[in-house]
Amino acid sequence: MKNSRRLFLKSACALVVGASGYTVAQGPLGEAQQTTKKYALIHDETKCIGCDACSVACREVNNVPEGVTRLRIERKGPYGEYPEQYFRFTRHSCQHCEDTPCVKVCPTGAAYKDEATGIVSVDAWKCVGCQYCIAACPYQVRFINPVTKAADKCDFCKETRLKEGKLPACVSACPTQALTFGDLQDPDSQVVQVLKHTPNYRTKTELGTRPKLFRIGSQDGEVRL
Amino acid sequence: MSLFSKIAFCAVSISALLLLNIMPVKAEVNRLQINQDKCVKCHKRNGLMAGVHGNDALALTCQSCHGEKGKHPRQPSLIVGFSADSNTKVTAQVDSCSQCHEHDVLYQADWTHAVHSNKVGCANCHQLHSDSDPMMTLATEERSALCGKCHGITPKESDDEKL
Repeated sequence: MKNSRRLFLKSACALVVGASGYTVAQGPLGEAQQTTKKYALIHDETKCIGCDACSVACREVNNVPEGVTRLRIERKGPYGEYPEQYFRFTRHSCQHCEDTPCVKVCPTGAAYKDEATGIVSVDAWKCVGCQYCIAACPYQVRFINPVTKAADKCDFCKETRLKEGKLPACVSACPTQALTFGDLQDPDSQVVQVLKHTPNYRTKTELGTRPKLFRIGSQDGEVRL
Repeated sequence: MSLFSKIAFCAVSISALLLLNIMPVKAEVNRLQINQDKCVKCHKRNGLMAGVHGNDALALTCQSCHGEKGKHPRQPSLIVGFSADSNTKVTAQVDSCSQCHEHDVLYQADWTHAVHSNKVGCANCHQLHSDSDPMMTLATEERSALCGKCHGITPKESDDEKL
């Protein structure tokens, strides 16, 4: 009697431990299997010339009304003394975070992360315009589209160019090829190759958002030896 | 009225209108003080000034920008040329414009001046002899395209580039 009870307890414990171990092992794996692609973008600030060809193309392709923008190139400078002056350019657009503050706060489910591509998008018809996502986004890239009255932002041209198998409009438009777009899951993709071989950074990583917009810092530093 | 006479009437009236439009402008250009300069005797085709820099009130001469004639055209001279195939150094070209245009004012007008000042001659973008400078009416798209003309590297295979 005693033995059988002990045996029962032992096997029950073993079962519980085994099952939990199995789920722990399966959890992230299962997720990875669901996400077939994980698109990312690299902005090479050493190549960017601030010509705004990217934002012009973005506006045209995605029908972004005047007054708002999904993509902006921020210009800082001029640094240095005339006539040897230079500027620094940084891209201001959705970072397609892995851990998405905007999706977390959305009460209607309009903001979502597409599991198949890793792209953070907005279902305009679900959006009620409460602007929680605009407040939550640490990168301040969201806005209310004055035409649709829904929250809007960069979606790597998911609904326009990616559907047709083309690169995002900004990537194609860049005259200096400062933008690299591709799948982080594919070890042979250009994105992975560039990230492996070039020092790069992301902004506000300390917030744990795990952004997928990588940047290659401009070479000219402010401190010179 | 037959079809032919209708067409002829239209053609005549259109050309008359065009003449009316163009003639006074041309006459005006020819009357400008700068276009009485002796340089124009030879450079009638490429030398006439129709732009704002030819305005009599500015009292500019050809030499104000292009420098002294020297031994031109018989022997080499230090004339400042602004065309794409000019031998004049970029810095000399820019210095000529900088006599009047201060670099920080130009920077206020457009930030790109600051990064091109010793690399590209002003005339690579601006045109002074024509009646209007294309840079003054540049649309956003055209402006981006203009940057790409020099900065653009080998264009990607096609617009339909694979993902």
